[in-house]
Parts: sequence; C-alpha cells; structure tokens
Amino acid sequence: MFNYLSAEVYKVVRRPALWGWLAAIFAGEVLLLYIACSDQSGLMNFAQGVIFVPRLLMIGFLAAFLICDLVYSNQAKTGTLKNEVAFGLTRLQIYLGKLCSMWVVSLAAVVVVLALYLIPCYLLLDHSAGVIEAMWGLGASLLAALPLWLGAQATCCALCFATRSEGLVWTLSIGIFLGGSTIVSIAVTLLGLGPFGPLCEFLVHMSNWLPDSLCQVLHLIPTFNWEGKYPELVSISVDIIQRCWIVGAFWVFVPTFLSLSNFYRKEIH
Amino acid sequence: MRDDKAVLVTYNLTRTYGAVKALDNVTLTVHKGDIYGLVGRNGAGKTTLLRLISGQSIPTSGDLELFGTTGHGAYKHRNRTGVIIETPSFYPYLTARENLEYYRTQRGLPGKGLVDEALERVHLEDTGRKKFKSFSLGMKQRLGLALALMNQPDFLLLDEPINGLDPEGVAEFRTLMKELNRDHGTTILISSHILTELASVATCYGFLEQGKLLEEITAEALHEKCRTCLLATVDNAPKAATILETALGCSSYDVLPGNVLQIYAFLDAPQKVSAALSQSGVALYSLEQKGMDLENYFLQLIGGEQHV
Repeated sequence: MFNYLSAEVYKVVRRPALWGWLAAIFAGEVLLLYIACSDQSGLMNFAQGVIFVPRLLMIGFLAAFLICDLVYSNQAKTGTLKNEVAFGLTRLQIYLGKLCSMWVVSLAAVVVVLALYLIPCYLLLDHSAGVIEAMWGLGASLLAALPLWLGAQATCCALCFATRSEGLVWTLSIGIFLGGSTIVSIAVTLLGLGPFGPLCEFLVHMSNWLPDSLCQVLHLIPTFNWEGKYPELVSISVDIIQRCWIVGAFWVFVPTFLSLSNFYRKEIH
Repeated sequence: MRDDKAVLVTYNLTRTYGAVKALDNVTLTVHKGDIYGLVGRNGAGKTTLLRLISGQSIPTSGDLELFGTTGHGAYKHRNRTGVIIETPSFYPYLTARENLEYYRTQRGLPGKGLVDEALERVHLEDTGRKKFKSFSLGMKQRLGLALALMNQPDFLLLDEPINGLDPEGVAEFRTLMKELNRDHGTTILISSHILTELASVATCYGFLEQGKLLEEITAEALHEKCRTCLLATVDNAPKAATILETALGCSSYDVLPGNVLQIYAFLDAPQKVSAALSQSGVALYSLEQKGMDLENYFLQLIGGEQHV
C-alpha cells in the first residue's frame, strides 16, 4: 500500500491542476488577510481571524470532487486501470489505494491551506488575547468536519469508480453533501406529504443526519447576515462531533462497499 | 527453448456478453519458451482471451492456470507477466519517463535504472518533456512495450503489438521478441492480424473462430502440413491412390474430399504422375503445384476465403 500511495502522490504533484487550485485558494487567503489587516475598527485580531476558518471549511466538500479528480484522473477514460490489474494488483488494493491516496492528498492540502492562512495571520495580527479559545474552537470544528470530509471523499471515489461521467459525479456529490436536506424538503413538498404526517416527520428527522444539516449546525457554511459584526466562536458539543463521526462513517462505508462490489464484477478497459 | 512445463493453461474458458458467447470453452496450453501465435478474425475472441488472462475481464465459466496456480491465486503471478492489450494507456499529462516511474513506484520495482533501460530498449530515451498526449501511435505502442518489459517478465501477453509501428519498428520488434525468447526464455503469447509477421516469430499457433479454439499446432507440424505439394483432381481418387503406390511407388500423399489427391513427391516431374494416371484410365481434371502459407492454412481451416 505504501508503494501505491507513493506512486499516487508522485502523479498528483505533477498535475498542473493541483498547483492551480492551491494558487487560487492562496489568492483567496491573501485577500482575506488583506481585508483583516485593513480593518479600522480595532476588533480584528488573530483570534477573530481563526474564527473565520470554520466558515470556510465547506470548501473541503467542494475540494472532495477536485481531489478525487486529481487522484482518480478519469481512469475509466484513460484506461490506465488495466495496467494495474494486469500487474496482479487486486481490485481491493486498487480501490483502497485510490481512496487512501485521496485522503492523504486532501489532508495534506488542508494542512498547507491552513498553514498558509494561520501563520501570516499570527504574524500580521494582534495575538495577545483569545488565542487558546479560538484554537480550541478551530480544533473542534476540524474534528467535526474531518469525518464529513472523509465521507465526501469516499462518496466521490465510489461515484468515480461507478460512472464514467465526471458531470454526474460532481452533481451527485455536491447534491448529497451540500444540498441533501434541501432536496428532502423539496421532495416532501412535491410529494404532498403534508407538514405533520409521519412520513414527513421521519424524513425531516433523517435529514438532520445529512451532511449539509450538520454543516449548518457547525456553521461550516458561511452565512452573509452578519450585520456588520464579526462572527462569534461557535461552541461545538461532543454530541455533535459524535454525530459527525457516525454520519461520516456511514458515507465512508456504505458507498465504498457498494462501489467496491460493483468494481469486483466490472470489465476494465 | 520449449519446455513441457506449462506457463498458461485455460480450462473451458468461457465469456459471454448477454446472449453473445465471445469465448466458448477454450482450452489451450502455452508451454514455457513458446512464442504462441493467436490467429483469428476480428471478433474471434483473441482480445477477450487475453483480457481474461490478464485479469481485466472475469470469466463466465472455466478457469485458468498461470505458472501452475489456478483460481484466485493466479493473480499473484500476474506480476511475472508483461501485457499490451489494445491501445496502450498512460496518463496524458505525464512524460514517458514519468509514466514509467509512476508504475515502477506503484509496483515496488527496485532500481531507478529500470526506467532508463526500458526507455532505451524501445528508443524513447530522448522524448524529454514531451507529454504522452502528444505521442504518435507508434510512440504510444513503444511506451506500452517498455512498460510490459520493465518488470523483466517471464510471460508476455501481446495483443496486436505492432499496430502503428513503422517498418523499422516492426523489424526491431521482431528481433526483440526473438532475443527475449532465446536469451531470457521469455514465453510470449501474441495475437496479430499480420500473419506474415506472426509466422516469422511464432513457434506454435492457436486458431480461434467465433470464440472457439479450432486447432493448436506447433510451427513444425504446421510447416509439415503446409509444405509444397501437387494437387491432383481426378474422377476416382481411391483408384488414383492405388496407381500412385503400385506404378510410381509413392506413399507420400493424402486423399482430400472432392477426389483430390495431395501428393508430396514428384514435385520436379509432375508429368510422371499425369502419365501414370492417364495410362491407367484415371481421368485427370487438373494437376497443379501448391504450397500453403499461414494465411491460406487459416482460411482453409475456417472454411472460406474470408478476411483474417
């Protein structure tokens, strides 16, 4: 597996798209830093800069597809999977190799992106107060977001192995991870289930367990009604973190199991 | 170079796609040291067979034995094989060297020199920063061959490997195959439409038609079957055969359907045959000298003048 991961990393760092995306994210961070440093109210400090971060973590869900694309490299179309199978790698090794590579690349990308934001933030802004609390808050947000990211990545990976259409992978993964509860609400309305029916209540209850509902609870999705105030530190309970790990585990194991079962029977071209 | 030890044995290998049987109960054996030529028309099942052997496809029924191991365990020996099936596939945004380095790392092959060696062997060492997506078909084919050879395989599976190669490349390929077989004992299973090329390297053949293996034959046996002969069409073949034996003392002949005699003697003096037959009252409709090549043999085997 180490050889497989090394090879995937060797390939990914040679993809121009990786550096393009990192440059775009870095440019966004520079802009954010510029805004923070230009603040005249005196409220902006390092702690406040850190509190911004959880509100940007939803980028992780969008990045799931991009990283999946970087690692998987549309192998169904380029036909490179046949080189791996022909050498005697089992389909389980190939599937898990790709998935783990996606996780490794995304975690490395998170570390780089956070470092590129937090280090200049620390150097440029006042860091005399509230640093510990802000870092604990960020840690809790990351701990809650991590399983959801891994789930998003595993789902994207499953979809990539199951279909040749990049558009379908993109639409389904974004739909599941950023619009699941909205889709349930629309379905409830369209099916005329009524606001208080048992099926409606069940669906609404279930939608609380969808990744995008959790993102809203965690304030991972930015809201734009700040009324001129800076966001406050969001308190994240252990219960929420536990729920995130359960939901993340579901989205890791179920799509992986289904896609792997399909991959075992699949003709490789 | 031939060894009785089998590198590959397939047992009633069958692959169906819906109602279509792409491969139908194929049982064949490739011995160590063979250069096994797989001959068949388009859609005969050659690529399907190679895909099953290489693990890209899963048999509907039947089994295969690779290096003496059957069933699921056979995949472990695939690291001793080198494969080119259909168009070689690589990452379009990587160079030749990067693509090979990627696979060398993934496969855990020791020594960075392997990549250079493989590139030199197929004359792609000077492609520099050129990406795979800009390669010509011939260059892609060469890179596919480099990958197939990089792990110094004991068994090569090659499907139409000279597609897109220029004449020089074809000649080099032919020499390389013979060299690998002679010097390293590499066993090769090769399918090609270009039967003259196949005939110049193969040591045995398998003929596939509509998913079925019609015949397996060694190159020597095939040569024997295809050797030059006289074809005599007469009105009474049994009588003509008796005359050949009694009047001319010839026992080297075959009687074919349609009152045709295939005579392997008197190639320099066919008039002796015609004289003996006419003196004995056998009507001789035609007498011609004929030799068969691999293509003619195959066409005769499948029973018609169809395109290979």
